[in-house]
Amino acid sequence: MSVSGVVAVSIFLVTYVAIGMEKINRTIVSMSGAIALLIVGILSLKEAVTTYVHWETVGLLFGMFTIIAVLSEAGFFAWMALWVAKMLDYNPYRILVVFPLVTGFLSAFMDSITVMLFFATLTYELSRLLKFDAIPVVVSEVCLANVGGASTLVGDPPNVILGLMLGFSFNDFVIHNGPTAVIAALGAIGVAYLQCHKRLLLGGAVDRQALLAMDPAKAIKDARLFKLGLGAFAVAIFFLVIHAWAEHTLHIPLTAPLAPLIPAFFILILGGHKTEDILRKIDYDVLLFFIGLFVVVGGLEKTGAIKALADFIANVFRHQDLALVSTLMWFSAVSSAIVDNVPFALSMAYVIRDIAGQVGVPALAIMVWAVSLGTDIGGNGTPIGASANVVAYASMEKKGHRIGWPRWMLLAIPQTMAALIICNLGLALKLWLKFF
Amino acid sequence: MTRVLFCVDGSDGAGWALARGVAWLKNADIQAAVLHVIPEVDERFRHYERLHERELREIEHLFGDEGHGLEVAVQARERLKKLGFEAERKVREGDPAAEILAEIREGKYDLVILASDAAGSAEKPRLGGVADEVVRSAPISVLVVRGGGSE
Repeated sequence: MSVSGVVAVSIFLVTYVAIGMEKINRTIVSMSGAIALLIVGILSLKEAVTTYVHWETVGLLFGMFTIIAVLSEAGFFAWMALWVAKMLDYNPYRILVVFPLVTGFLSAFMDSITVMLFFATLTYELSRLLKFDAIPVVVSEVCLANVGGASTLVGDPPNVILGLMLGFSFNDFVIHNGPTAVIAALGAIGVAYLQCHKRLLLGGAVDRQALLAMDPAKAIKDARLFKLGLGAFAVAIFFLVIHAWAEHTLHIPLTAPLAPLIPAFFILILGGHKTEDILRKIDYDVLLFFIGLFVVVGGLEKTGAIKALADFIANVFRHQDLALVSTLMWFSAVSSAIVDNVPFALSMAYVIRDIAGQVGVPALAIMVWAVSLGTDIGGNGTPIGASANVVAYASMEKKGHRIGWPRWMLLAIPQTMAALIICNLGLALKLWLKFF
Repeated sequence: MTRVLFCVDGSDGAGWALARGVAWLKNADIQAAVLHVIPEVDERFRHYERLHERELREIEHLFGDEGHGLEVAVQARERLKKLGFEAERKVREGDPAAEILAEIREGKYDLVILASDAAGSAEKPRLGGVADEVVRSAPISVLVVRGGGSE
């Protein structure tokens, strides 16, 4: 490896470790790594901005963040949880099964961090009134949020990166990851129910009158914004579904990032006096974090470090498609449980793209499904494996219910293993059917 | 009048310490306060919490939750009331030991009562980190109540 390759790898490793240690804000770490690459001359600023920062990813995320900010401002998440709880007649056992399925469904289309920030709080509040143990429910919600996030292009940042960088559409993810993720989710919730249903109730009197008097409609803070947000969300999903057809058949430049951006800007224009509040809720930190990471990993790509790794992997697994695909999935899962899955997914996007260019290896598509499923779902394993986990864990801790790593892992790992085994079987079936 | 600070965290041990402390002081003329310290949580959570603080507070309000860990302090105060003592409730956020010591200095207490938050045996008693730090650094008397009992 050249000197510049060694330097790029060193900057990448220092950045990666610093992000994992969480002593310094990760956005500052990733931008510092990017600036270090510019200072040592591995990348020029123009190269970094025009070649390696993937602005489509940044644009898509900005659009989705805006729509979710509108929905949260309007009280959508509280309304959703209360409405579902009311439909379930406030039965804790039904909540144990259905709430995680709801977080899984929502996380397929929205960022799981915001979903879990609200659902952890709402589940805790319901548990206070209904006298059940919130912890196993919250852990299951997180597990299924991460599984649900694997099913679409916009469900999880790793999917956004893999899909947009490697040319896979929203419909590709729904068709190829969606069914696997749904079955994996059902497997995980089955394990969760078996683990937790006997010790779910805490005892004590439940004030059912207070619950029955609770009206989900009262959770909606701004009815106009609520309708605008839901409308924008529906339009964004519709555009995501049709964008590839619109581009190729109708020659309308409706790219994947424009799908949420167009409705997002419409609601900012129509938001009136709420627009400033909405703009303040958008997570610019994450967008800057992504920009820095794109540059840091771009340094690896430019210096040939990624190609060297891809060549090595291709040599080891030549003509062993199932072994390679399974290894990619499990390696992604384990790594994701330990380190931040976004830089991992970004690195792997380049790696599998280079692997796919070689002889005797599987198609790029099946490798994309393997990495995305492993990266998204593997993060369940520890409280730090994904940002949704961190948010749920800290939310409970702040309420005086410290989960602890052992309890988290005892609850989450069996559910995660069930999901991953189902995913591995799904990938094997796709290889056998040559459907990828 | 003796100013007494009861430190609680919602655990059974803290509840036990509160009950035992009151039992020992039942004939004393005391002015009580309960303190709950919300532990420092992950910076990433705080970032997202700040983005959506108003909505989260509204949810707590919808459920009648006073939020910010007040519930732990409120429940402790209710327990003290049942045992015949009125108490102020205090909530702080941060490192538990540091916040307890800060409250001791600011509140001019005469005695602080807290639970020993680590397991140990009669032959080899151990103090948890928080109790240990408070015992070492507090400028006033500290009563550490060993766990293992129930109210």
